[in-house]
Amino acid sequence: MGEKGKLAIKLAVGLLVVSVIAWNLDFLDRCVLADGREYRGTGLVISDDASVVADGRRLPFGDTVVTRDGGALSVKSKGLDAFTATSVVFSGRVAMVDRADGRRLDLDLANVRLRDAGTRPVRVVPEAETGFLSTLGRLKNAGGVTLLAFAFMALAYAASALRWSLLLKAQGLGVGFPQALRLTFIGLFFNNVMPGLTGGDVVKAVMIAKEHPNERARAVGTVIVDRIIGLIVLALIAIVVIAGDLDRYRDAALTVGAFLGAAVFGCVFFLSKRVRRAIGLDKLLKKLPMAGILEKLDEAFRMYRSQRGHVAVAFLLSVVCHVGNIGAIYAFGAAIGLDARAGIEGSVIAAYVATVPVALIVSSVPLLPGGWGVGEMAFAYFFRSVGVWNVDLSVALSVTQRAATLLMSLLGGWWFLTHRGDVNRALSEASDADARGVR
Amino acid sequence: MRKPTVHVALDRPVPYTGPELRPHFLRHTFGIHGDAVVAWHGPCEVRGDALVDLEDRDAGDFIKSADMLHILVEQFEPNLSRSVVLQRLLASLAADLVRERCPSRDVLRRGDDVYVDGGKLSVSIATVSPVSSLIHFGVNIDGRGAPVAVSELKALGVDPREFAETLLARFAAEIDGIIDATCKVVPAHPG
Repeated sequence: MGEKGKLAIKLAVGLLVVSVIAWNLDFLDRCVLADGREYRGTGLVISDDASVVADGRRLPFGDTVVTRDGGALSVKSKGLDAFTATSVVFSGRVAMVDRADGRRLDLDLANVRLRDAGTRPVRVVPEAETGFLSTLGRLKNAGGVTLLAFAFMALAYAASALRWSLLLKAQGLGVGFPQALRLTFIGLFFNNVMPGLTGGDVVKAVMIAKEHPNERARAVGTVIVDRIIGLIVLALIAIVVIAGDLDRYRDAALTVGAFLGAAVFGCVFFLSKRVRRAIGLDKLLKKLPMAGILEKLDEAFRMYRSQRGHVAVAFLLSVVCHVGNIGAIYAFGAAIGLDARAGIEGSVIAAYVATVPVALIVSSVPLLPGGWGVGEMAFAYFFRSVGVWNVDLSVALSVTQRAATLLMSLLGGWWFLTHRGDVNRALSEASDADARGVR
Repeated sequence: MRKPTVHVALDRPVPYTGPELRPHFLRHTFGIHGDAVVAWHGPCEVRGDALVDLEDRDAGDFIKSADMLHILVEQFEPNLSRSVVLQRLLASLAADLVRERCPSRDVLRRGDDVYVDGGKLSVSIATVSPVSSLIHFGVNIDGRGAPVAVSELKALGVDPREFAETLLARFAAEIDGIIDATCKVVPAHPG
């Protein structure tokens, strides 16, 4: 199949995923009364004095979780032991603007229909929820937190560029931090903006290879190892939290466990001389499907077998990088209200540290540029597993961080435009070299 | 110590925001002269510098309730320790009253607060001015807006007026009893 055919299939699958997500979103705010009347509109606000009245106790709405266990209602609230309640009433007001006639509605929260939400445990929540657009609109009032998120992102990219620069130096490819940073951003631009099969990693590799024509394999190897170390550390960060509460993070545990299992298997497979000899890996690789890719991976791993110190520092820099990534997403989440208010129980930070890496690992599957679609699905799925029943919120968080990444990648776009000739020439040379089988 | 004038004024709501805890507020608002204990009701919201409790103020806490039964005690003799003891006596009397009216509920006085089934029923503070000792004791009637889990007289089915009248009468009787107790003893033997 030609390049155009592959691209068409990739885009089609990506667009299908995006369509499925869009189909499941409520773009407008929504409130349903117990008598079945449904209102859709904008500006839904639940009054500050909203509360949950459970067996005579009035509990703050935002700090109280009502769950259903069979027929019984269980109530948990800040500063109070969990108790079983026979009567639970949500009290307060719901204000919103009705889309149908522009009327400002003032509804009694006690009259709003309750629905079961989430899966483990089943939460009981009023059907008065902000939609996707209103959720994104909250960013307008959270300028400080949004700026903090961008600062975290800058930290992540700086640490990532430093890590790659270190891995390049370890292979004798003298590339300083500024150039590594520039190429990281150009790569980001290709990942997020340029529709096509040429990913940012490929661009980074060929740009380095252009400057070191005899070291193409090493250049490619640095990018591969850089990416793999990043993903492994991401998974390790998640597993630290997940291991502390396996029951709560069961879905994330399965995904991270499978990923780390594959990573350990890969490391043993590629790094152990004994294993390599025993299974005759060198000959085997040539016979396997996708032999080219496997050989590149094999070469990349072999390059760093004797560079343990550099690899260790790269691991540490990855931790900084992911603290930046997760911190940015946490800040965006706080800005749009994806925290305890959205249903996350217990430590919100722990839930992010367990959930975000897994969602990021899954969303690294490239369909559409920037991982659009797969990322949103992953955020929706994994945040639901920690109690966020409103898909609009988790998808809005994914869209927000992706849009922010897109914005940051424009810096790479500017660098790309100013060196467009060089990049295109390097890509073309790399393509010719591939066609000739030159390595 | 003198027996206080008791006054229950629940006819119209008077908000409590903190500055009410000052000398002569009862005189200016309710026309009561001298030592007094007065009950009224109204919304409560105390934030920032209006919080007398420094721990609450430093923690950025606030007090809020849609409707509260406010009890303000003023005694024209500044004595903070005695004021704190009387504040706890008032809390104990309030807890006794709730216990009598709601025997199935778990009622607990902890320090100067009363809890019912774990929900906070009351807020309280004692302080002194240059001329008097002051106590504010608030009991949730309708706790909407409270930042913590609360109990409220409305949900407990307790009539705020009857509760206020009984509590104030018992408090005044206790003070009367204390005064009486001080009048019937001889000095301890120097031994």
